[in-house]
Amino acid sequence: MKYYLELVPISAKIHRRQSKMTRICIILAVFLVAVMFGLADMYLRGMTQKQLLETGDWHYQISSIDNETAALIAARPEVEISGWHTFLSPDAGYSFGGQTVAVSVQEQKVFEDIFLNTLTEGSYPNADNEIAVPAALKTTVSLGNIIEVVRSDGSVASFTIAGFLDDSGMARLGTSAGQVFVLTEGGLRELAPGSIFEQKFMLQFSPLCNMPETISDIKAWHGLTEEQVSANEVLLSIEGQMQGSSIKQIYQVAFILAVIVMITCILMISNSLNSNVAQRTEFFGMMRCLGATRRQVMRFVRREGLYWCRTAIPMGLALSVVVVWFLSAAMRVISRQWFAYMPTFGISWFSIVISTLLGILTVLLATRTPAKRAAKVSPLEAVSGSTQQGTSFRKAANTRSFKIETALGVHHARAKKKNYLLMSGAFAICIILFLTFSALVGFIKNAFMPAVWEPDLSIASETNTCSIGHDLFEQVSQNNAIERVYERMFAYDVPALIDGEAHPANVISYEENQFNWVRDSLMEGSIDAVMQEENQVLFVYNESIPIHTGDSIILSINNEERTVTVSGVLSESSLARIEGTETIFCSETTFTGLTGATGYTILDVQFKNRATEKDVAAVESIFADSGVFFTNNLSAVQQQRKLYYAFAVLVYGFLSIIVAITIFHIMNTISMSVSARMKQFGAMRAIGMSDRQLAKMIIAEAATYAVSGSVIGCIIGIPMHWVVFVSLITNIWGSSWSVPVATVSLIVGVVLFSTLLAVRSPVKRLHEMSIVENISAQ
Amino acid sequence: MEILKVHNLCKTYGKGEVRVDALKNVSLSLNKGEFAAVVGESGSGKSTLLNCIGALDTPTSGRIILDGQDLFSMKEEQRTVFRRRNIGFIFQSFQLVSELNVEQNIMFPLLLDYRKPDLAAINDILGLLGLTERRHHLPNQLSGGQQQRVAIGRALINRPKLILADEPTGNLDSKNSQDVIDLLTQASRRYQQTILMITHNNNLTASVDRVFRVSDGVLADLGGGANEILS
Repeated sequence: MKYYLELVPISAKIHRRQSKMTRICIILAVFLVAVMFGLADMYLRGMTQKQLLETGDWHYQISSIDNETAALIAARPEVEISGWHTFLSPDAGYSFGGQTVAVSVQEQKVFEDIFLNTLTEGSYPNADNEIAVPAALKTTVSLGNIIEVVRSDGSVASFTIAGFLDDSGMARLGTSAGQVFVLTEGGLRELAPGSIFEQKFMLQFSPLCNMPETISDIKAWHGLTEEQVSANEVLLSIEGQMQGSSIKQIYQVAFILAVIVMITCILMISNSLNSNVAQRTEFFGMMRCLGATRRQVMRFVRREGLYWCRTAIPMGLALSVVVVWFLSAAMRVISRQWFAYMPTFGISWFSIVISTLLGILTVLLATRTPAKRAAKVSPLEAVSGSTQQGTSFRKAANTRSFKIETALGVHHARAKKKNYLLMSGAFAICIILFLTFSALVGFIKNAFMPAVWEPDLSIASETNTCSIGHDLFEQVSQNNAIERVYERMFAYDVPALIDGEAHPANVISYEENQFNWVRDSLMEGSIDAVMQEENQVLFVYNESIPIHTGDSIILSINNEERTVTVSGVLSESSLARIEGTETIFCSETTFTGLTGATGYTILDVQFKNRATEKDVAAVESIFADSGVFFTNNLSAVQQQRKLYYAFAVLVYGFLSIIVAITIFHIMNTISMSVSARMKQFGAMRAIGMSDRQLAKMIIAEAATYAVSGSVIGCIIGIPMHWVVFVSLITNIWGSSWSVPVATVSLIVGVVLFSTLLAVRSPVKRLHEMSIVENISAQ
Repeated sequence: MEILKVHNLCKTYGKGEVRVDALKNVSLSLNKGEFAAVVGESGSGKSTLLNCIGALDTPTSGRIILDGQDLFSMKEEQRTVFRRRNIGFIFQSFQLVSELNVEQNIMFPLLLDYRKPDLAAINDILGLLGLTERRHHLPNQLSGGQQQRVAIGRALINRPKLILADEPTGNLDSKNSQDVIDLLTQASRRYQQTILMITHNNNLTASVDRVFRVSDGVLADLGGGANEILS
């Protein structure tokens, strides 16, 4: 040993068990930050890939410029690749084999590096008489064959096939429909002599430059108008080159989450290091005794923290890489439409660098307080050996109101204000985190989850009458792929006398499912009465009509006046309301009684999860010549549902991580708190404290932190939930906020349960330890 | 009247080459009101003997009978309650509960037993220890000697059958050491209290009734007359 800090690894080996919690905290901090940034990175890479495959790798395209201007622009250092591109759509009138074809003209580097296309066979055309054709034509033509492209006037131009194009990238050249032929500029002149076509100058900038600034500069220099320049906005946004771009938003969210995780981990690491230091007071006293300065002791503690980083950071990173792979795979499976391009085994170097730096920063910040604490240890502690664990209380415990073990537990928790606040704060931060982020669940439900009444397939009468027979309904219901069918009967523009005034009204029948779905909108009255009794109706609220439960409405149907009673008033209806026409819902029995109709106007179908278009076709086939029209939303609803699941995986995953941190942190805190006072517990056991009393004492202490933490957590967390809810949900969808009783109960329950669980292991450890071992514990 | 009987007590640590016989067939007995001291070199087995007699540690073999009850035939919870009611401890490093004041520390064993403390008895002990004025002080507001007196008070409050003192003067100066021995002697005489004390200090054995010497795990009864020689 040449330097006193070399003692760190030796000491770390000896105190390996005590430092386990600190190491786990560092692993957790690095892991969480790396997962968040890694996932953000993978998502953006997926998005970039998707965008590149859809549009090609270009940032701007400029039209109506001459060759000289183009050459000047191309010569700029910010421009990585540039070149002309001319595209003639299939509407231009050229055809081959009786089918219209599009023509794309560009240099090979533009074809390959900007439009990211390849040839499956042969070479890129480089002579005026050469052409590259889609690989799909391989069945009819071969390399070297001469083909004739027919012009709109019927004349032909002959070209030799130089290569076959990879068909999958044709859309990037300009069209997703039909075939694209690739020619040289000379070839285009051969095909369309004397014609002038609009040429676009494609630009790909270096990722290191500020692209919007560069293009503004180009515009200013060459006097280009806004109309001449168009941007690949999605790609620019993904690459973070635009104001409010998605990359910035995603990384901002990841950064905010990372800061929250960091704060939590700083508290956790600080707590565990504090306990660690408290257990080694004698050691630090000895260091001071032997001549170590306060600064040296602080340096020693900081170096210890950094020493653990050596193994903890790589472990956290490795774990994060695997989890990111797993999550990317899960996202790809859940929603191919959105996440198909996320890399399979991508490694985010950005996340690795940032999480390593944040990990080290977390440790350095977390070691500040314990280092100061260790430096404050007096050399006397070593001389006297009086390592009074839990020293200098100002007030005695209240043994009059509580049993001795409870009194000691509560007193120990509350005696030191700073420690009490820190511990309760650590419990509270978990609750605050959970409550704040749980508002996201509501957000994704509103944003992505289809409404419960959203049909996959609607079958509506072409005449808007009750023309769909019950037998058809029965046949549809029997299809195994169907989850539920719910039907409605409609009577439009029925003259209604409401509160003495005449109004047109739409009378609609509901069945059980639909009645249940509108229960949340019931302002007054009862839905059950409408379902069970005849001539009872639900009225959709209209502020200009003062109608209440018990009022009567006179309906004129088939020249007969029928009186119905309002049994309930709904605040809104999912069906579109026409201004000036009131909406009245009733049961099918009431509807048939009022109108005499027995058929349905609309059948809505919801399929089971695994249903396909074949199942939709099977249902549609039942209605051949039945005078209905179909609205098929199956794939849209399924996609929406998958997107919801993908985001739900992320949000619930994050909430689970918060819960896991909460449980882990509570266990860590309690375990550390017990470890720090082993000796004291040993003495109490020697004097006659039973294991049960010891457990009760530890529970009382832990419960004091948990209860105060829960109170503080709710006091801050519920308003935080309100802020997030109002800004994300109320402001967009108008849903009103209410105290999240279930969420609060869940997280407080988790905290209290974890506290009880956390006591088990230290109590067991104490129980297994002999009293002699316990008294002499370090 | 015999209060403590130790019969063929053995305590072995480790196995094979690292096996250490800390106590070898130790037998002894103490009568009610006897004040005995155990002397011996460091590592001779004194503390192991005390820990076994106090049921803090489990012997490898042998029996310990206190007030007619075999300590190690009881279940652990039962043994804890028995220890709380019948054995008082005085440690070298006092081991007071830092969040309890002097009075509460003294009544701590009663509180653990959920018994209502007798105020008169506490006042009596506080008077005996000279701590009446400091009854509401916390341990960190007391000197070492005062803290050890509180520990003696805590050991006495239950009127246990046996008090075990492990180097009670180890952390004290000579004046405080003598005070503590005087207090223990006084307690032994006044309350007919049986006390077994471990000490390094041969001078302190002058006031005790019997002296045992432990050497390499073997106990020798030096009797009462040995005091003169040791002194």
